Formats: sequence, C-alpha cells, structure tokens
Amino acid sequence: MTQFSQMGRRMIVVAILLLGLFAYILWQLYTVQIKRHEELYKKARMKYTTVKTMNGKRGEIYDYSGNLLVGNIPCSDVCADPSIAGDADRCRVIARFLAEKLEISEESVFEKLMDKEIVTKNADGTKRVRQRKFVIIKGKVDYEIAERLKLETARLDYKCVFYRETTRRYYPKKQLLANVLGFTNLDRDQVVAVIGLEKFYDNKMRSVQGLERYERSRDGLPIAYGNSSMKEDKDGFNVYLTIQEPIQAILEEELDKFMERCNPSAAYAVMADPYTGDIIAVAQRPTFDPNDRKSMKPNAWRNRIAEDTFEPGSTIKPLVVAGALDRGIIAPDTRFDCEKGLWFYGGKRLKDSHPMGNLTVSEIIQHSSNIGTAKIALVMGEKTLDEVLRSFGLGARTGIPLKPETVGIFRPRKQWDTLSITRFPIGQGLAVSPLQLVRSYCILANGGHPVKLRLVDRIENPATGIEQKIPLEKPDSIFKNPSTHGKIVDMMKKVTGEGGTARQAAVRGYYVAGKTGTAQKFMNGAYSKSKYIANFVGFVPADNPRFVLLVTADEPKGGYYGGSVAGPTFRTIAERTLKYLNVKPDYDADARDQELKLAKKKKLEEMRRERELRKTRNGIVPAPVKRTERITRPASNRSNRNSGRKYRYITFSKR
Amino acid sequence: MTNVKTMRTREEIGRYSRTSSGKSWMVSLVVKLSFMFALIFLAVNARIIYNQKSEQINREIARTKSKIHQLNREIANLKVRREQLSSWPYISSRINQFKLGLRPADSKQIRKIVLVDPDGHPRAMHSAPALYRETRTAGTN
Repeated sequence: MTQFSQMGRRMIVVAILLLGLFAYILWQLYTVQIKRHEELYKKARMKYTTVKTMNGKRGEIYDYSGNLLVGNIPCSDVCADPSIAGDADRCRVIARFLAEKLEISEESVFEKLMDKEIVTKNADGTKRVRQRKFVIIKGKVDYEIAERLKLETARLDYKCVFYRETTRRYYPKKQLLANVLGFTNLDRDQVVAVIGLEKFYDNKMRSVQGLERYERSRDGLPIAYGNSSMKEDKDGFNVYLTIQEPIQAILEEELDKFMERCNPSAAYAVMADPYTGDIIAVAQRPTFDPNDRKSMKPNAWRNRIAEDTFEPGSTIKPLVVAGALDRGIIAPDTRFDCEKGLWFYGGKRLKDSHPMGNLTVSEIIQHSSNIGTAKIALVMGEKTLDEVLRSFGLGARTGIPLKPETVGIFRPRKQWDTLSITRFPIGQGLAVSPLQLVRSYCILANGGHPVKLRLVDRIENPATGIEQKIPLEKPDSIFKNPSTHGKIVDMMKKVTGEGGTARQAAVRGYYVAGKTGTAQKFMNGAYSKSKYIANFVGFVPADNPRFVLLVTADEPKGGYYGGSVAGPTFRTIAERTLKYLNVKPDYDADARDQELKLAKKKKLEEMRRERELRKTRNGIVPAPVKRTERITRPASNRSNRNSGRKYRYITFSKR
Repeated sequence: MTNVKTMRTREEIGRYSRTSSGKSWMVSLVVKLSFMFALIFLAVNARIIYNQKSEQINREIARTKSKIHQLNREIANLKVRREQLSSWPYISSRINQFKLGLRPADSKQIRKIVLVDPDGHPRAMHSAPALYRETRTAGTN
C-alpha cells in the first residue's frame, strides 16, 4: 500500500512538472504566435526579404541620323567589406593588388581595408561600435577593367572585394558639340544636370527609379512562391537633334584651323537650314571635353551662340536694304552719294572704310558703304526701319532649347536718339546673338519666311518607340513683293564676286550670297580702336540655299576685316559641306576659268594691236620694259597723296 | 441444438460469424487507410518534385536574367566604344598619327561611272560620259 501511495505521489509530481512544462510551452507558443507575432514576423521578413532598387537609364542624345552624342557607359564601383578582409598582412596583400590594378595609392586602399569599425554615439552619450561592412575603393571604374578585376579577385579568393554595377554619363565624341550638349554632375548618387541640353531636357531625360521586393532563399535567389512586388523602372526619353554629325565634325575641324590662323579670343560658327530652321552644326571655341572635368573652365562652358551678343556691323545692311526694296522705297539701281567716305549727321561724323562717290544700292551692298546704307535708312524713316529690323527677329529670342538665351539689344523706337537711324542700319548701337543673326539670314535666304530655329528634331520614348516630333513652322513671308528676294540675293552675290568685300569667301562652282561684318568692340563706354569682331554670314548656293553659315572671330589677331578673317573659313566649311551634301554646282568652274583665260588673252591681244596701231600712227616706238622692274618715282615728282607708292614707267622715244 | 451440416452449436456459429466480419472490417479499414496514405504520399511527393522543378527553373531564370543583364551591359559598352571609334575626331587623329595623307575626294578622280548588276555585269547606260576610257567598274582613280 505504501509503495503504491509513494508511486502515486511521484506520478503526481511528474505529471505536475509535465503539465507545467506543457503550460510553459503553451505560453511561449502563445507569446511567439499571438502576442509577439507582428514583431517577430516583421523581423523574419526582414531577414529573408530583399529590396532591390533599379535605376533606369538616363535618356541619350543622338544626332539627326541616330549617331550617339551622349550615352551611358556601364562601369563598376570597386567596393570592399573590411570586416572580412582579414589581418594587416592580408589587407596589405589585397591593397597592393588593388592599387596596382586600379592605379591608385596602395596606402589609401590599405587604410580603407583596415578601418574595420564604426564608432557612433547613442542618444545617452554612450559609444556604440559596429563593424564596417562597406567601403568604396574606387568609383566608376571602366567596364573592361572591372570585369578583368572581377575574374582575378575570384581566382585569388579575395572575398572581401565586391563590385557594384553602375553607369557613367559618357560623351563619345568628346569636344564635339560640347557646349550645346552640356554635362551632368553627381550629387550623392543623384544625377544633376548643369548646363546645355542636358539641363533643358532634364525632366524628359531623367529616369524613374524602380523597386523590387521579393523573398529570397539562402543563396539570394527569389523564392518561387514567396511574396513579391515590383515597381518597374523607366528609362528616360532619348533626344534626337537636328545636328548632322559629319557636318558638325567639318565645322569643328575648320574652326580649330581658324583659331590657329587668326588666334582670336573666341570664335564660333553656326550652320542652319534656311527652310526648316534646323541647326545643322554649331561650334565654338574655347570649348571643353565633358569627359575630362579638369579641362573645364567657366569661360569655356558658356554657350556663346545663345548667351553672347555683339554688334552685327555691316551684316545687318542686307536686312535694311531688303526692307526698303520690299516697300518700294528704293530700287537696285537707285543712286546715293557716299560723300567720298566722310559724312556728318546729327553733329557726328560717319565714315566709310574706303572713300566712295555716287553708288547704286547694289554697289552700296557690294562695297559695304556705311554712308550709303545710312542714307537709305533716312529715306525709310524710323518707323519703317524699326518694323523691318523687328520683322527679321531682332530683339526677340529664337526660342532654341538652350538657357539662358539673350534677347539681344534693340531699343524700342521711343528710346531712339537722333543718331539711331544712321547707326542701327550699319549695325552699331544694337546687339544680336549669333543665333539671332543666323535666323535673320535664314529669313533672307528662304524668301522671307520667319522660321523658328530648331535644335531638337524629335523625342523618343525608348519603351514604346513612339517619337514626338518637334513641329515645323512655316509662317507667311514678310516680303510683300515677290521680287524682293531675288533682288537682294543678286546684290549679296556681288559681295563675294569681283570687287566685293569678301572675295575670299567665294566657293568655286557656286554662287555665294553673303555679307561681311567688321565691328569695333564697345568697351568701357567707347568703341575700341584695337579690338574687333569680324564675321561673315551667307548662304550657298545663293539661289537655292542648302544652308546659312555664320563664322565669327572675337578679337582676331593680324587682321580684323570680316572678309579676310572669317571669309576663308566660311569658304572651306562651305566647300566641304557642299561636297558632303553632294550639291550640284551652279556653274562649271573649269569652263569659266577657261573662258576668263581666253577673255584675258583676247584683251591682251587687243591691247597689243592697239599699241602697234598707235606706234605706226605716231612713229613712236615704246622702249623695252624690264618685266620685273619697279621704279619708285623720284621724290621731286611725287605728290604727298601718292608718296611711297610704286610705279612702273613706260618711256617712249621717237624712232 | 446442433447444426447437422457443420456439427456446431448455434452459439459457436454466432461467435464465428462475428469474428470473421470484424476481421474483414479491419482489413478493409487498413486497406482504405493505406490507400489514403498512399494518395497523400503521392500528392506530397508530386508537390515536392514539382516545387523542386519550379525552383530549378526559377534558378535557371535568375541565371539567364543575370546573363542577359551582363550582355546588355557589354552591348552598351560596345555601342559607346563603336561610336567613339567611328567619330571623325578619332579617325582624323589616326590619319594624322599614321601620316596616311588622305584627302577629300575630287570629282575629277572619277573617269567613269558604271551601274553594276547584282551578278557583277555592267548595265547598259543611257548616256555614256565623254571620257569613256576604261571598262573597269566605278570608283577607279
């Protein structure tokens, strides 16, 4: 009986213990499953849930034909986990290896690998030490180098080294179109557009970040039946320009030669299609290589074609004359007295570079007479002059997608003074941007249609391939008289012809309509006597132009006339571009040369015959002349006006 | 009372019939349970195999995705490199470096232009140029 009762008690104790244990387990289960469910579930999910951010691709910039101008090049950040890098010896070996491959200082890599702890302070002031698990050894390493390094670190079993994929904005054509394209910077992994088209179209080109959340297995791969959510990343829109890369390359190359030849402080060239307003090529010097941030200087950043203004000088004369012709105020053969190069108006003198007498309107343009043009403007009157110049877009922005863009300087008519009417038509007292001048010549070239300049042709959504075309506008002509265009073009052709101011701008085989401009720089309240802006602007072929081209040099050295400074560069650019565009010549240059040679020969023959005729009539025989002999006239025979000139004397003697 | 055929008493017969029907009931239960367990086993196994396969495919997808990603990066890199190499500044720098002395083409270089069929035979021209000297194909200097 005792035995049974003892057994019973033990059983009861065991049963109670088991019951207690069971109750404890139940309590724990309750705590884990119900009471702390949310907290623990969250913790567990954090352990096995991965959140991956995906940065879409920033939009790229292409030329008209789809040649890449700005792209994204893949690269990698070489990173390390110092907590598993090992002791100092091991770190030294890894540092030496990485420093050699990445061409960086071994000491800096070693220091990064040995920096194994992060010490932070808690709110109560106590220190908290954590292991450092991430350092960047070198950011934005080239794709090929990073891939090679990946293989080598895997082979050498450097587990602490890992790679973070990223992309870098890349400009494969380097300096080509650099000022227009602009560039971006990085600010805490965020792309910040700084200038140019990158900035103007930042909203369109910026990518949208995607987010993927999934439950993963031990090896990091997503579990098939796990919870997952995904917000797709979106690539930025691609921008297609109106620029044609091969022509752009010609322009840039010739501008470099121009810089070597004339050594100006700045130079720029703009080429545009006069019918569509498309900018075909545009370049400026100084410039920069957007891939090499060291070469960037603030004065090279500036977009001179949109931001800078200059006095257009004589290049504005055809606009004034076209306006006067269109309104029937003058005709090409109307004559004006050019006052032998010096004329006083409003108490101030106005000069021509060469003294000229009575000239027709055509000759005024051909010889670029300031006095003649001022007199034409006086006949027009202030109101008409103001209307004409504004109809060519002076004082209005071109609306090109570059910011900031200057409006130029062209005062409202109410603010004009007495001299304005004689100074504005010769390009003094007002200022235009290179783009404004090109636009006004586009209007002249296309028959008077005020086109809008375009730099962007279309914007493409890379996901759908849908392209949004920037619309072309063709407003009504500003010329009311249909013959105006032909008349002004004929006058402008003479500028590059025999006796014109820009014979060096003439292109063999093509008629060039253009105008030179030589403007003194307005500095510190006065016109400089040593600093000039020389430019030439024109269109080729004159009667059916394929492009309008402006070439400008700011403070050229060794000469300052637009014809001699900018003319030759205009010619070479135009020649190469016409050849590239396969434009049919206006005339056979060889045949014309032959004709000229024949005409010259014929003239010489006529002169010889005439001389012989005179000889026989008077019985005088001309003394033989040494062909290369040049005799300076004796001082006694010289007048002051001709002093220093060299003469060739033909002496006659009786037989 | 004894049954003449079996020579068993009524109690014995009743006891016997009760035992045999009980056994058959148990057998059928065991059979049914085994069948059910077999079905469950099969279903679970099928599910495991299916899961395994899907995980395998999943891994394959992940591997392929990663490969595609790598290839895309390589393509992007090559695309930029191609653009760089085909740009005029690069080509002209090479021309200068190797002193190739290339110059722009002159229209006078062309003596004759001939349209050629896909099989290489020259097509008859409607108008022949005056300087029709050679019979070789176009582009000869």
